[in-house]
Amino acid sequence: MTTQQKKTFSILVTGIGGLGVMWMSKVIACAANSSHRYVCRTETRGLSQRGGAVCSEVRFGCTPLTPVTACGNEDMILSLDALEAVRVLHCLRTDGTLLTNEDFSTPAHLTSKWSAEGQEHEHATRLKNRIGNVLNASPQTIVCFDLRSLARNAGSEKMLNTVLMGAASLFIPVDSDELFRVVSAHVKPEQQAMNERAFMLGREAASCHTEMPRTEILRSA
Amino acid sequence: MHMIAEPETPPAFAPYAILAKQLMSGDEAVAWAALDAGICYASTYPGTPTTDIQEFLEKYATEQTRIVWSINEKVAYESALAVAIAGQRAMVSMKQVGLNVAADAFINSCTAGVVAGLVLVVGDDPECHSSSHKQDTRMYRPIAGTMLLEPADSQEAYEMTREAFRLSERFRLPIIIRLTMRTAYGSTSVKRTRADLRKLDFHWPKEPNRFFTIPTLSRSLFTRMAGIQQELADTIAFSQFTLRTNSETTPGTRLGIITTGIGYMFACEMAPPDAGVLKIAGDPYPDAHLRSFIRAHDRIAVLEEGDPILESRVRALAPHGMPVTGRISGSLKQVGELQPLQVTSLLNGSAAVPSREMEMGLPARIPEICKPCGYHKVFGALKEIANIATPSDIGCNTLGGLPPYSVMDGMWAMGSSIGVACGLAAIGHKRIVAIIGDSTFFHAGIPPLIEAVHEGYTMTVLLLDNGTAAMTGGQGVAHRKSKLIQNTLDLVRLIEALGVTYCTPFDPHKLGQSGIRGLVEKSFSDSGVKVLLYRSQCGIFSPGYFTEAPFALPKKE
Repeated sequence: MTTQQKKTFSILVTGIGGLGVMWMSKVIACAANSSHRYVCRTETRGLSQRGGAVCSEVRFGCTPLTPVTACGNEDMILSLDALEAVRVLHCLRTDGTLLTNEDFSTPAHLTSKWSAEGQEHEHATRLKNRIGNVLNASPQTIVCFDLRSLARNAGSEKMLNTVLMGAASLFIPVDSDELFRVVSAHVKPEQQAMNERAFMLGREAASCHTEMPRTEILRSA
Repeated sequence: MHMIAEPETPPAFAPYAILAKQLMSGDEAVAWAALDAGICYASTYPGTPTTDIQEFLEKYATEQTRIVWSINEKVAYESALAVAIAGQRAMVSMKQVGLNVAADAFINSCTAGVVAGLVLVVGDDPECHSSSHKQDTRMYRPIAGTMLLEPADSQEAYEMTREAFRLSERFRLPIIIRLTMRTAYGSTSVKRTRADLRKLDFHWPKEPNRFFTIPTLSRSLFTRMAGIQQELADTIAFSQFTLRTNSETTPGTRLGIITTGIGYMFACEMAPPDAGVLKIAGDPYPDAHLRSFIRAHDRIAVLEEGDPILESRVRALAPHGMPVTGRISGSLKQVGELQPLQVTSLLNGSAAVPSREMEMGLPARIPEICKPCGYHKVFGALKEIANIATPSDIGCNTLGGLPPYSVMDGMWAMGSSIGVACGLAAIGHKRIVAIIGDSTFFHAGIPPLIEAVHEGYTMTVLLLDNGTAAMTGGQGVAHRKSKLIQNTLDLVRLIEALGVTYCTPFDPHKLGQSGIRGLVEKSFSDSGVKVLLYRSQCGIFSPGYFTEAPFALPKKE
């Protein structure tokens, strides 16, 4: 089993509906398809469009693979929402890498719309602390990014996913030029320049983290 | 005489595109296979995980192929059946519970069968990601007496669909392709093959001695069906999709893995190197083939997605005392999708590795009704009304059953809200509000409404018309403009024609929550069937629909 797993690489992309989880996994799968013999990608959809969590998985290697990774064997998790990162953290190998947005969206039932007035802030703070504690205590390599401001620097907050793709390009065993090419090919022509900028910003932000021990990574992020 | 012509070749059909390997989902692979097989007609009713097939067909098909979102699965099946009887290839797709609706037509059509290829693609959801039932489509196979093929990945989804058209023509039977959530939504690399030649005309056979299935004819047709069952099993056994590798003679117990569908991918990745693997292309499962594989091994593990149907067959064939492990043996969880950790421990004979899942009690993300939707006002109003019975239905209105509203008493099947309301009214409940959306109403809500009127029941029906099948991604429904015909149906006139005299259309945004509450409460004071017709756009899929005012609203209220 261990020898087989070395030949394969599994990435879980997670977030909430509308952030671009599906797009990211598609881009990774397409880029991997040119260099790996076997690539598979799955998605868990359902009610994602209505504010639910979205997960998509990409696996590649040289032998046929199941579309799902055994729990705890994920090589990498890319997360556009910190709460969702914590939710799937148990899937990550102990020597795996998590790249996540440091920001998260509070589930609707904890916002002022549903719960009592004034509690929203309290809920959010408690959740934020919990997320921080879990990430700090976990043994894996964890890098948190302020994706929102990086995306804003690139030109639009919608570039969140492309920024994370750029950051991930340093860690995924797929040719990063190919990844960059596929990203450009999978966006609207008028947004190509902005996406390329976002990709490079993400890559830059991640470049200072590749060699660092993990505790430092956490502190600097 | 059929005219044979080369298919029209749009750019995607060009040789270079066929040669290139492309990453596609099982749904997309099925869609391409159907187009490459030269289908003339494809119908469906939307439902996860097969909705995408039709969406890809709409995207890629030329004008020669008619792509239809049917009113329900039964009509989808019947129309595709007609095309296949008339000599043109057709495909019909639906989710597993949709086959229950189409089952009457499907099962009865198998005896007389078809002329040209008819492929029925059914998407199962064993883990209930997006379904109310986990039912396994293979259960229908023996009743219908036909053949079912189950792909393991997208390449097989493509090839099996192509093959299914040929087999359908060879056996004159509709053939089932069973996708499961992971094969339908999973993407792997696919290489397409050259498109089939396509017939350009049709011929409706005047053969009542074949298709007019009165009992005397049925008896003889069943004799034919019984006669070909062995041939079907042999076809499965010698299919290019049935694979066998024997375990090498190693000291100790030899493990044999019998698998079908996506179970094969688990075997590929997780089987110990010295284990034998038998992959079965589909159902009917070939007994002789299974028996010879079982005999060559000392221990058998069965990997299949869904119910333990193959495992039951293997157990029946295995000699007494031979260990057969799978779901029945308790080695794998009894229901749901195959889980990698469980499969690994089953194949390696080790104890199950406990999942590292942490019970952190993180707040869930409960699906919500979109912010600007008028449903908020309706469910807010229902929450304020005491002592009401609220049978609900499939679609976006199910979101009213979740927090913060939680106003639904129960949900059963398409159209059940009104059927359930009928029974409740029959025993005298006076405050019933059946909640149903427009697409579901057209699908299966009209017959129970007729019954309610006919039996003189007292009930309020909240018909939520947002002009689209929103939950599945905004497919067109009967009264919405489609490519061909605009605004074919006037809901108010339809409801009145059914004998309902109390039909009040309302705009939820103009009326507001308290207004809607008043409307519902007022309806309880009258006896008979009252329909409160919500008319408001779905902001995502039918914006502007109601501002176009397709029909003048009646003067009532």
